[in-house]
Amino acid sequence: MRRRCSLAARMMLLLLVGIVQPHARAAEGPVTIKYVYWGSPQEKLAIEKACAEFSRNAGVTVVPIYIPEQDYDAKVTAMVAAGDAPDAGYCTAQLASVWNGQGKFVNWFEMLAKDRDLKKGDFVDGIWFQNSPDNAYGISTAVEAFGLFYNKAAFKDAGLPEPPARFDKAWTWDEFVKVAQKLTIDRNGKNATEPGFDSTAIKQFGVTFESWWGPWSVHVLNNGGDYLTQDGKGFGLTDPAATRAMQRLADLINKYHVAPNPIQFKAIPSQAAAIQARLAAMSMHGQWINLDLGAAKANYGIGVLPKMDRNSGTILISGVSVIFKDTKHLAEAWALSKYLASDGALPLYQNGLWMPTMKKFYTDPALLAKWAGPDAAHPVGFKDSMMDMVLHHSRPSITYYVKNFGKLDSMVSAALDPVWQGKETAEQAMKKLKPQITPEIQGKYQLK
Amino acid sequence: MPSSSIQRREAAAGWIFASPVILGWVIFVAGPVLVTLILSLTDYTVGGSPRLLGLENYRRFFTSADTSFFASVRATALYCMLSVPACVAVSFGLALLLNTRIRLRGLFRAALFLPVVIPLAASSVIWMWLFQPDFGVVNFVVRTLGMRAPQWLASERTVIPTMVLMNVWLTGNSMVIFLAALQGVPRHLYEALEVDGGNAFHKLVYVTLPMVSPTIFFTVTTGFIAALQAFVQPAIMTSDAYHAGGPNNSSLLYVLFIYREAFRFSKLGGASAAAVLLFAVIAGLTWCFFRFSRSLVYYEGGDRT
Repeated sequence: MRRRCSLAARMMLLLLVGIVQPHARAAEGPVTIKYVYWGSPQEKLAIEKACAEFSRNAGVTVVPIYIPEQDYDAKVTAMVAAGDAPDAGYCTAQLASVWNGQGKFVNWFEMLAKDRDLKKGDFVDGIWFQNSPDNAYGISTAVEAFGLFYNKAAFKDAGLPEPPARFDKAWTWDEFVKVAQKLTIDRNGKNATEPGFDSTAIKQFGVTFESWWGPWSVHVLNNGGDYLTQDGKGFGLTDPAATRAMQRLADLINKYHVAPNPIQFKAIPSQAAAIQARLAAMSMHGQWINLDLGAAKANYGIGVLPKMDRNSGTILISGVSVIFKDTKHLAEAWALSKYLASDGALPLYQNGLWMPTMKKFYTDPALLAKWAGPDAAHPVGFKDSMMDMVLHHSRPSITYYVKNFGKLDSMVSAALDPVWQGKETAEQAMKKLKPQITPEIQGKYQLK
Repeated sequence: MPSSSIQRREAAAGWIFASPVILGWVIFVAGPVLVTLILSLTDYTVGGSPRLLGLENYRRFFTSADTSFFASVRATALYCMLSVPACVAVSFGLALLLNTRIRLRGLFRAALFLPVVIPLAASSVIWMWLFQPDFGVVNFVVRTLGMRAPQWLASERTVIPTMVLMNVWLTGNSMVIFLAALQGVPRHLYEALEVDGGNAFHKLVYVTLPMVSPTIFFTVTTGFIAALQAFVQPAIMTSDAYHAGGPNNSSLLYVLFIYREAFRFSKLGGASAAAVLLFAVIAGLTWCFFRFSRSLVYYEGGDRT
């Protein structure tokens, strides 16, 4: 029999260690700060570089600890359980919201009120992770947004105009579906509008999107739906505005055959790879894809998402950057966190992974020129389709205000799988889910 | 009891020599098990101070409107019922073949054992790509042969059988154990059967199977224990940073459920309760195996003749 690591045993060991290890430690000698984070190989390099730079200038030692995203919660939980909590770093939204309930994080608003260099107003609105109007337990690691990324060659070959980059020019859903049909090509070279098109053997899909909450929730919110009801007490996704949005996405897969089933597509290394290799002509994805597409010098462009019943729009989405309250070196951890939320992150703005959290990077032409291109990771449409959308047509994503999000999301995600597979309609799936999920709903955070 | 000083010294030495194992077991096994048992009765989350809940964590699994616990139990049961018999049958069959005098026997043995050496996480990623329904190699071959291409890991119905298929490829370990057992079967028994006019089938049923029955028992028991704790495959192949064991919880194997409870939902008390349930099931199942093995397993030189 092959060996399987007994996870249960390892977990329990961690717990035991956490209980016997004393929490208090002597703080002596040079200051060392542990900073935890996840990310792509490019992000890892950039964070390591920024930490080294900060260490040199501030005279402290920052130890950047890289943890793969999929194991992130487990590893950070183990560190905290073992009395070895980091000083600052990234945190996933679901874990941050639980730990905020236990008072584990420093309040960013409080720190900013005392700070000499920065104030709250220096940052873009809507990037705070708050549980009340005056407590921000974290800041968005970056500003991130959704858009329509596309392979230019695919449009050229099909003789189609490229997707509009401006909010007021956004495609209607029907226009979008038509384009996607023409861009979906089977093994015999026929596109999805032609007779004899074989939907079971597709070489290039018109469009692709992932099945996690980001890509579908942006359409739900744009369409006037929401995760929870207005008062936060009820399940919102049974609302027709929400189910219509989800159903249209599912129809791309099962009715028009222009998008791959996202569950099947999971085995494809990334959306960037899909665009580059023309497994799909377009991808409804987040702007961090710029990093990989830019690094690969791909010939791509960015448009705004097509609109459904209302407008196009985008959501702000990000991991949480937090400072742990147990840190022995609050001043240093604060300085580092500030640095990574501003000038220290410039390389990450430049390489396309992030957009800045501070307003000055959008308004100061000298600073803007430093990161927003046009260059390999910021094609010509970037300013209209991403920056303008973020500043004028965006809303915070659901992780900023839905309580108990980790649990709710696991249930919604599972219930949506049959929808992507075409076995249930979005309306059926959400109606079926409603009685199951309602006891888990804990309301919304009051942000204002 | 005569207690000479030699005996006492020997006893002391015995304890000292055994102490690393005993200490290790107490610290790394018994201790955590006990802690888990206690934590399972609380609402423990990391950093919070645990409150005693009694059996609430257990009750929640069975009565919650969220049915993922039952989905997880179903998936795990199906996985065990398919995987263990398939793996035992295939590895036994392979061992029989490799125990005959064929050409390139060493090469075949090495090749069939090789998958075990590859880290499971790595081979899971490779199988995930092979099974990709649109662009994967497996479906390319299936389509070339003119058959309907299955969805493999992307469908609720086929996801567990697909993982079992991969497990069959990974049976090198039990194959080696069976090979060793087969080589331990005394030649004279086969010769006796030949003298009596028995054919190859008779040899298998009347000599080989009874003689290797302890090995079959061993592989089935350890196989079930391992299958109940399977984690890596669904964690790599059907989970991402957002949801685990898809599609629609159909591959949410039990340990993945525990993991999700602990690290996605930060409910370590609940995860402990789930772990205790798993412990009870494994202990009970193992007891059953040993209980029924008495009538099914033949030990040469044992009580039964």
